Amino acid sequence: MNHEPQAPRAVTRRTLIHGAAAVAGMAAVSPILARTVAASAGNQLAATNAFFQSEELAADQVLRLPEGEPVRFDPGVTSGGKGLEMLQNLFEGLVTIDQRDGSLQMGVAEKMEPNADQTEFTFTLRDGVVWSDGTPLTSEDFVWSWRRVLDPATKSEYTSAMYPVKNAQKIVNGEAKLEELGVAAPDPKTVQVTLEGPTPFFPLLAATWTFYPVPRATVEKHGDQWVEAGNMVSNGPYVLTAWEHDQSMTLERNDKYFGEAPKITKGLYTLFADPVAQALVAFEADELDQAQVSGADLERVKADPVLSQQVQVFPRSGTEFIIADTTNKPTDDVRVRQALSMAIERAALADGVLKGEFSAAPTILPDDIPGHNPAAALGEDAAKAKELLAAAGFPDGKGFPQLTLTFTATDSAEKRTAQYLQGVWKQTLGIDVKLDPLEDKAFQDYFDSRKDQPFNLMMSYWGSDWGDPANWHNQLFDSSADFYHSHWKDDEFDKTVRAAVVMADPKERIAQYENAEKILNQDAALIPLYHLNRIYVIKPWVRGIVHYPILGRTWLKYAYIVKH
Amino acid sequence: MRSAYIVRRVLALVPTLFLVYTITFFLMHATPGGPWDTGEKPLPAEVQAQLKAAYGLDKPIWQQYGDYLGKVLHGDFGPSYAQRSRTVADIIGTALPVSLQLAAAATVIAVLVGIPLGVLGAVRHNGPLDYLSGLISMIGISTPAYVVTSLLVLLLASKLRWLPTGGWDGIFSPKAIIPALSLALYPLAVLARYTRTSMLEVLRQDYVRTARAKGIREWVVLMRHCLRNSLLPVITIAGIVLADIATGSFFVETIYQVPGIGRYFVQSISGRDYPVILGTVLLLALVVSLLNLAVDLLYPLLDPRIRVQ
Repeated sequence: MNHEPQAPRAVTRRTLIHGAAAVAGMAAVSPILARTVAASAGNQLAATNAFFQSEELAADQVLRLPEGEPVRFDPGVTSGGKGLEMLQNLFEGLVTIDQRDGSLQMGVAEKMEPNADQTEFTFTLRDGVVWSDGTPLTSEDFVWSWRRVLDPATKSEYTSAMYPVKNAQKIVNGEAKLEELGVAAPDPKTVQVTLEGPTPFFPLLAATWTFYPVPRATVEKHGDQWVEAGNMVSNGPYVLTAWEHDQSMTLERNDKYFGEAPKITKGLYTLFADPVAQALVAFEADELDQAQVSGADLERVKADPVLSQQVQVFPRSGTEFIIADTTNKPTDDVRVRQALSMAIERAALADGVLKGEFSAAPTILPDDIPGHNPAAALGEDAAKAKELLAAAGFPDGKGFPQLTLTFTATDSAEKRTAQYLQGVWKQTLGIDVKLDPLEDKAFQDYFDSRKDQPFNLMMSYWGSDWGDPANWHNQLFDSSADFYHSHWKDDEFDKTVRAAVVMADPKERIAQYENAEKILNQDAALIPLYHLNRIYVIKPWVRGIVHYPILGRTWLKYAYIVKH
Repeated sequence: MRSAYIVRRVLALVPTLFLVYTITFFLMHATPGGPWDTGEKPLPAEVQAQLKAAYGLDKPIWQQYGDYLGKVLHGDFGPSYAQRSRTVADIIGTALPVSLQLAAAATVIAVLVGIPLGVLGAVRHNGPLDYLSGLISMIGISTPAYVVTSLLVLLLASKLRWLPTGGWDGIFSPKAIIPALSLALYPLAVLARYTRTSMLEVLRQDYVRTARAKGIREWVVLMRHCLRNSLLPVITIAGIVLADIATGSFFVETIYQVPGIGRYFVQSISGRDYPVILGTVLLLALVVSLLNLAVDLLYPLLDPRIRVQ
């Protein structure tokens, strides 16, 4: 039984693949930019809420949403998490991603020109762009804001987002001065960006929050208090008008915004300690227009005659996987890793154990990322798995040491998955796995220390920051990055992804990434488990809410409320 | 004599708080994980190193202990790591009044309902009213606050829609009802139990029989002759119970979205927000100590036989 609206979801997926591919292609070939991929998110929602005939706008365009109290609320400081949703509604960068289809759109800039080898990007700002207090927004604001991110005094936790910009990493390491950052303002309307190397995907990166401009005068005047309501000046479609800490936040339309005026006049946020676990009850009491559904609530929501009609599933560009220590016995043997992977029945895991909260992941890359390659899958085959384990010297699991699987205890999907894995590996391979759930901060600590300490197996995930395989293969799995501490090293993989990242021909580039994906999956460097989803209940009179697979979150400017 | 006693007791707070600071400081730094990584992804090592340096967390632990102690002695707990725009003093300044209002409301409910309930139980000993009073107390004592809050939200907010599902608008708004009731239930039950037991004992005293024999109205006997004397043990327990209200609102505030001290206490620990952890722990230690002192000072007022020394 599945009460989820199937048709809209299929449309979303297909649309996204086009959208993401278009973006990657566009960025690579270049100057063609502001372009909308024809796909209407409105249509899908209309289909879902077909019983609401009226499309007439309601007089009251106030959207009530749940969030957590923002943590380190400052575009130059936060690495995401609570509060990012508000920042995305309050600010806008040089370019921006259309959340309905993933296409790259011009933001504060009206023109973007890369040089031939994509090592330099020149942005020209729109005429008359101003901050919400009416002061002009100039290219100097970008230079100042980007340098501010790297200034140690800012205490930013996301300086690494700037690494593709020339000298950014050197500044973090104390080897270069702030003024040497690869961004300049030759005149008030021009932002000139110099990169470390050819970076065709830089525009996707420039659309993220770390690259937003922040208002220098306000920041200098109020210090860390500049983000408080009353102090904050912003440049996006909304402004912050009220912030009662740990209670509520109010965003109202920014009259000075250069773009089309959004229909939602006010976003009212209730700040929960844990919005995912706590907002549903408020949604049911009609205090909120939207709430995320956690795995624990999913079955009840699906069985509820009212709530089940309001469920919308938004695929998220991300994958949960097992990380094995490829330099520690016995997972240093590729056959052992392959056996572990092939013994898993992913459909049973996703639909049975996880009740359809997430979708089976045969490969590492999610299907909206170019370079996703179904042929790369290692496959599932219990008999083959047993053979491989026997070939590795452990027939029927005899002599196999007990492995420890470490994961985050508060992640209920990971917990249920770990229990499933323990059972299926025992049953199929005859091996014992000890479960080691850790509190989330303790897990992070454990994870960080695996850089130079041995382990057996860990569970973690990645969600795309931007729709390009470089965000996965180059940033995570290249042996020089080794983001997950698996210590996996494959010369051909490294060579392939390092060549692909700077390749100008988009077709050849994707082919290279498909190849890399195959090496990664066949070698079971990581063992894919499931792709992520976000499941929401949304009131039927609310339209235009989109949670794009990458970063996602609610963007007020696309939403509207119909008469009800 | 009295003031000397108070001064002595207040001075004794200093080593207590110092000990609390020390234990908390080392415990929280020994707990794995740090204030960052609140996004979904681990931070690169060099970024973590840079942040540690910026916050002074790269120094030897003893030096951090001393440096921070120096600041705390000047009343400066510094800014919160998670809410960069607020200092610990800001947070306590807004959260403490919220918790105090809630605690006051819960105390009033607990006293106004719990004590009469206990008296009723004693007077109607082994009657239906006594059993009812016993049942209410039993439920109140054995049900943890987080269960009570969740059940009240489910019933009053979710099913009946009489009250909001969470939030805070001041003590005189409908939003205060569920948290105040949840907080009041346990102390109410305890007060009812102790009042009943102590009342039963007093009712058997000779002077009560004498009073009744003299033909004094039963109401006056109960109120003037019995209740006052039976309250002494109740006051002792009230100190502990009140401390429980002041500190036990962790769950209630977190579940019902009340921005009080309890919520920040929980939030700061799970977020490893060191300055806020220290600020709230020291505050709670101070509140508990002061409440105990207040109880000790109340005794002589009720029982002239007790003298402070």
